[in-house]
Amino acid sequence: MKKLLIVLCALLSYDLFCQKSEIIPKAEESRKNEVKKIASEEADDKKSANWQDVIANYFQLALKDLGGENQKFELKTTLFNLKAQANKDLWIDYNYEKEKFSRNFQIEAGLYLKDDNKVNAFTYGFGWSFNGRDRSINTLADTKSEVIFSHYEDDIVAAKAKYAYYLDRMEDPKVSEKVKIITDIKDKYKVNESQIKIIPLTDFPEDFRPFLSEQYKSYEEDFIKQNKSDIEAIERRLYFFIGVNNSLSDGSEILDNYKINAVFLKGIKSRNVKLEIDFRNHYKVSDSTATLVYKRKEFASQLGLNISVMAKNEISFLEIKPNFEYRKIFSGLIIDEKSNQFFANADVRVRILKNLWVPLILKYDVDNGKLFGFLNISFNFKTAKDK
Amino acid sequence: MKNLTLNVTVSGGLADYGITYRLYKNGQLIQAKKYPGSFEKTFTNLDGKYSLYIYGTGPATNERNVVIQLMFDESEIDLIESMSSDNPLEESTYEISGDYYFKTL
Repeated sequence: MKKLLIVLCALLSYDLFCQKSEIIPKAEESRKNEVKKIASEEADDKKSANWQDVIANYFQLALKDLGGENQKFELKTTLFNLKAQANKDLWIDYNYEKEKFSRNFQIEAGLYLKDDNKVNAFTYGFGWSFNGRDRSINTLADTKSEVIFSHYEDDIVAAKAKYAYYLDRMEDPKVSEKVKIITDIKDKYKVNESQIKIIPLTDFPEDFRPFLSEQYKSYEEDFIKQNKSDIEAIERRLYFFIGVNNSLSDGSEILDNYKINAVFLKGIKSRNVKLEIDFRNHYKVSDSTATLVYKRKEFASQLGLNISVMAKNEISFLEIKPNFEYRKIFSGLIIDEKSNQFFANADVRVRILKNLWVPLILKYDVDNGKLFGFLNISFNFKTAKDK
Repeated sequence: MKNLTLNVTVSGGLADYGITYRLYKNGQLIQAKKYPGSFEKTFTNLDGKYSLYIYGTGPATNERNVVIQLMFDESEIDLIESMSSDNPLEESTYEISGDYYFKTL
């Protein structure tokens, strides 16, 4: 089984990285778009780590409980990502929109490692989400910022058309160069930004400015405020996930170890920091870690508030999630363990690299006055899409 | 009958603010429409000098890609390349635009 899993992981990794190599012949084009890509990635950087931990928009690799008894190596992806490896046309908007189920259907596979790094168990699972905040589908159409953006764009285009016609009618010998200058200015402002950056009036040549409308100067201020507000409204929408996973080890049967979990996230409108209600529940059945083999059945419910403490340019660097947890152990109690348990927890997530978050989970046992700490690492691969 | 077909393909999600085309003749707007995403539009009975602008945004995702392509008979229509964007044009930025200037022959 171990060999099979290693081959599976290797295949997935091969697929990811070999697709990048297919892009190499388009090196020049890629170089041209590199700056643009970096800019576009900023949009996903702005998602909270709390949210990224729940749904795998990417191929996500996670190393969990490092240094603990149950170290776990886990890969997550969506059914859509797998289907799109075989059919690139699924990325086209009219196909993409139809793939509602596969985009929200998550698949995971992982390995539990023993202290000596030998495979202890294989885990697999699947889940489905309702993602009201998915920006690939929930667009800014019909928002107030769309009205401002449309006026701004229409204004520039109308000015360009009149300007080109005017130069042509005047038989200006530099008509091509002058028109191209306007196009280049527009291109310059879309290269380094993942959001719309309104072109200041003064960046246009003096002979072009009279073709723009009187309102042109007001677009920048109006748009920035409204755009931010419209995006935040989407990011506060409901996110719900329900999933099940199963763990297999030597000698175990299919339903010996499984977990059903549900996650509910909902943003709260606030001025300075991003706040999110986080409500999680799980029911878990597992073999006890004690020498005697018996089933442990537990239910846990956790309610917390995720707070983006430190952020720069809306990109979160430090998040804290204080939360309370209740556990009910139905069977398989360990010696001196209570069947009803209460914890006061704090999840601290620090962004180390662009796509690397290190979450430290502090758990305080209210009844026994004990403090525990767990360290996880998760890394999001960028989706390998052949352009 | 001199025709030109505009094809816009959006991938990686839905276009965040949609995509608009505007066709001008002699500096005057003669046709315009906004679409939520991919579309194809054929302009028929063309005669004279035109400017065609395509603009808007791609999806708000890392995987976004927008391809703008004009299809026409080169014996009937002359695309003024010195003023126009590439054809086809592939955009992976959030904001996209393609400007085309052409005349019938």
